[in-house]
Amino acid sequence: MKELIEEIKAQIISALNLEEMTPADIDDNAPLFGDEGLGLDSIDVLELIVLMEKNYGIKLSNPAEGKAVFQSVAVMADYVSKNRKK
Amino acid sequence: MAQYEHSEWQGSTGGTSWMQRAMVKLFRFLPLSLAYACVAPVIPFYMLFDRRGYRASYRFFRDRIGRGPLHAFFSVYANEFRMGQVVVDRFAMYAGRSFKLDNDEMPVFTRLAEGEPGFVQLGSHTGNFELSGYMLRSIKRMGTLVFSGETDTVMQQRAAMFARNNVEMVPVSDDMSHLFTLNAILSEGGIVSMPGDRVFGSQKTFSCLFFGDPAPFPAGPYMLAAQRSVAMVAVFVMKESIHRYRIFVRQIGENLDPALPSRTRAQAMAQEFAACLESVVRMYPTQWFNFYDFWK
Repeated sequence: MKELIEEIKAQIISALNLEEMTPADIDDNAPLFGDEGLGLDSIDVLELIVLMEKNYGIKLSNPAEGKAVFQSVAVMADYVSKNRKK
Repeated sequence: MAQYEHSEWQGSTGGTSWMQRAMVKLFRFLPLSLAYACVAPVIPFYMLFDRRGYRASYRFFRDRIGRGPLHAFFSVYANEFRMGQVVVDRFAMYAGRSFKLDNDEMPVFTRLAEGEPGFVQLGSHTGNFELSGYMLRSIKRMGTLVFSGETDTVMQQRAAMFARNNVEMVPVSDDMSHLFTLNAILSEGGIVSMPGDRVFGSQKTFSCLFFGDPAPFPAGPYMLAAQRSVAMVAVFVMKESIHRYRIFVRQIGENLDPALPSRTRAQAMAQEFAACLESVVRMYPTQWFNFYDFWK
């Protein structure tokens, strides 16, 4: 799981152009959205949706499920490990 | 004098819900020309009391279109009157009226609508974009992004009209659920319709050259198309006469290298849309309905 978390962090940094950050700067359990944690916004949600689809074959079409998945990197990793198709 | 900024401008239809219901009933038998005649004497009051809107419109005609002070003043009147006509036309459509649509550029839309992949359709606050949802027919599922702030009457009438054309409304929500819905529609080969000139949700923008100066355009629509590598078209529905509109359909980003990073393609698409919008607005300057300082 630790490897997957690091992999997702690297993908987020690459997809969102967070050039000033390293995976170590992202707390596994910090919220991805809002003022705390990474502070991502709706444009970034689009990036994460595409990231999940392209890298893991996971299509997130249910808003409630999607919001739950993007709580934190740890939650994303847990969801990917259980639902990945790639 | 203060002016509206992107995030402040709501752009919703005026009037209370019961007034709007009354208008729908009225337009079942009231001639359009008579309705326009009722709008004409109201315009000076808008010019007098909506000073921020007046100021933005006046500066648009002075600074962007290059008209003299008196010409710009009368252009503001023409601008507000056109806006009134467009609102009347929307309610006339709700009441069952139809308009003649000159659509000699439809092959672009038809080709994409008949193809398998989904695409993004961009509108703007010019002319009467809402009519495109009622008059452009496609077998594809279409989701059109709508903003909160309209009355129940407008939303119900829109929903009824859209439903006839396989169009569903996707309201912008604070919890970002609209993004999942729009993404699902695109991935299933549907059409996503949204404004290309309004900053909403995310405050991320692309700065694009527009009428000679940089102006902020929303990053969202362009990022959505670039990330999913889907086609994008700009649709402008411009009023020509009482019963006639002309539709302009332009494909955006068709010649961009797909190997470029998605953000680079999105920025280029935003600039291309800005150029298209400018060319159409130059043809129909009194149908520019962003009544705030668009460049701020």
